[in-house]
Amino acid sequence: MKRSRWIGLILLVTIGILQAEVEWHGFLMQHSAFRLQSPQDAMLLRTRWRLNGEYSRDNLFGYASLDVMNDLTRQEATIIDLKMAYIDLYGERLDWRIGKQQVVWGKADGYFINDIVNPLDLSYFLLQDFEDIRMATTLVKAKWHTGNHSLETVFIPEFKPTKLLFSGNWGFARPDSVTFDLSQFNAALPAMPLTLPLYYETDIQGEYSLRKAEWGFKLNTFLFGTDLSLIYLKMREDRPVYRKTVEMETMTIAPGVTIPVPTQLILQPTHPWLKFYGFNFSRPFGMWVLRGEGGYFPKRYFDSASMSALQNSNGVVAKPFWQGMLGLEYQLTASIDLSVQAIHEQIEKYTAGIQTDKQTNIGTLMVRGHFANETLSPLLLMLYNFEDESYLSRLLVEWNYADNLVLAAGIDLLGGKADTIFGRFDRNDNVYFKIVYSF
Amino acid sequence: MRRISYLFLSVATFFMFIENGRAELTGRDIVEKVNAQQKVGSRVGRSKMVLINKAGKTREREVLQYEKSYKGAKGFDQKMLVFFEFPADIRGTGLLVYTYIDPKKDDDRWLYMPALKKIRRIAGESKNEYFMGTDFTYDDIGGRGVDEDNHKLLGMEEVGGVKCYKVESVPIEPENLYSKRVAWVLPDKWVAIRVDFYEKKGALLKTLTASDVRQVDGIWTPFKLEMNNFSENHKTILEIKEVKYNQPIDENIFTTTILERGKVQ
Repeated sequence: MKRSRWIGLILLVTIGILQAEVEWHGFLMQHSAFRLQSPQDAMLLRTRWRLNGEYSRDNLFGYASLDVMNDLTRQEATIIDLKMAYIDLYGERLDWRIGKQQVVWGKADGYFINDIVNPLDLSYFLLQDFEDIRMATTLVKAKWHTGNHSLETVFIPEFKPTKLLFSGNWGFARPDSVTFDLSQFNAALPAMPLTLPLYYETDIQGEYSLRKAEWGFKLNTFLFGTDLSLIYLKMREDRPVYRKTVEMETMTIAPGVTIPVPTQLILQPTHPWLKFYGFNFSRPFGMWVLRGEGGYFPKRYFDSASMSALQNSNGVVAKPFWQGMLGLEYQLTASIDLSVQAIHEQIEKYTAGIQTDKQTNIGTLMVRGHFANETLSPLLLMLYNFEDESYLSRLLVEWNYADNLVLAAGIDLLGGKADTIFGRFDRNDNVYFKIVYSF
Repeated sequence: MRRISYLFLSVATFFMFIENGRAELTGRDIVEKVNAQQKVGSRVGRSKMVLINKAGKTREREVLQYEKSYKGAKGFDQKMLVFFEFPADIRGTGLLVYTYIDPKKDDDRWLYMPALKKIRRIAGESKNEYFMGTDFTYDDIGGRGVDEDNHKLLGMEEVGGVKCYKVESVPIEPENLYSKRVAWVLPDKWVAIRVDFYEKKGALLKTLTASDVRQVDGIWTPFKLEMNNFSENHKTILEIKEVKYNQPIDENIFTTTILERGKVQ
């Protein structure tokens, strides 16, 4: 194409954008949390400025969302983060969304079974807004729709792993050593415990590849009063699975006789490819709404500490894995809604040494009120793990002081043994306050 | 079953019931006649709601709404799609409702909240729930079938210097929020300009006042509605900014895809 045509095209696009109706909105938020236990320190002192820009013209819609954030407790520089940036193209039966975006496929509250398109940001565990827990990724989404039937396909060239911290208040502490029986490495060695230091290699931050893109689809329909969805996703494991290599050194045990002796275990984070099959549904019955969600991985990869796994498959084992959720919502009064969920996870063909529990059973309870013409909204959320008896409970009261000003206060209580999902943050009970000014 | 039909318009008009000088008609005859008269094929409207609490503090909502009547086709009575456009913190929130001709069949309702980026199915049977913080319950803004109340003409009475028919409607179903409603109806325009809502124990709970009645596409439409809630010391003023009737509306806009999209092309 000649240069003049390029210039013309750019001019046309620019004029089109300038003529479009551009709207700006966003919010300014101050979010502070203070530990209830000693030393009763500040756990979060975060100021966030969010600016959203939208432009709209005919069947074109553009959206960008920018965060400027600073958390005084983390001693980090101010973060400027493009949260989302995408373009929508609307057709009569086919819609496109191209760019950095979030895709929400699940129906569960506070748990992620079908919600697996975007990786999670667990740097504040589950105590951020869900919009912040899901990390937007660059992808192309096409949705073909007719009536209440639709087929949504995603093509995801950007891969980002789950954002985990390994230190700090919300860090997932990792062991720094592991103990084996020395004779397991070499029968010539004595049977005695050997503690090996662990060396963790750095995980990738993210990568783009058209050739190695994740992809999948979700088929939605509305039949006999029921919303139904079927899901398939060819994806990579977001959380790291560690490929383990034993570093050996030669030891002389007698003149002229040497044997290899393990000195260190090197853990290389990997993100294996997975196939995911899922479904979800919801249906009201009078004042009740029944919701359900299920997911199945024919082969999911888990870390194993067994010697056979270490020797045969670098300490990683593949097992079938499934998750399910059944939930019920009920309108208790005109102002109070109640929601309960039962969640089950299970690793099939479980073998000793796998460092994830064979099964998990979690119950959730959510009570939400809306009083004083929806200006006062209390929320109670409880998650309880029946397997390890750990729990997370959150009480939150939001007050819409004005259309553009929300004040909120709450308390988070976590408990259980130190090696349990919620118990690891047992010392993080906190009281928190939020002020949100929207514009 | 609650039937949401012609939101806001119907609040003020569903009590229209009687032809001038034809007092011998029964309440049932009148309501049937009125229901047939006010039925429109479709409605597209933009409204502003001002919510005022007892301290005089105000909050505003702006909604864009599409409604289409199906007159029983495929079992549907009506479909409705509402988008909240203002304020910023609820902008993009959408509600999709299907109502059915079969009185035993519950509505199907979906709510989309942009903060969660998730469509939630909500129970169809929630008559007494207030609509998005306003003083209108879903039952207030929904038309009631002729058999859902017992109607009684109480006579003629002046409201604001205009002589109106005064009619009492007592719900048949015991779980209704109200013990009765009393409406004052303009005889020439067949629009209720005042409705009193009484609670179960008989006390006056709310009063609806309609004004600025104009004819749009042949339909008499009150452009201002004020609902005073005496138990909460709260009121909602609803102003219709624009409305069109019987415009062609694509069937496919009443879908969860468009609800999630947040806009109609």
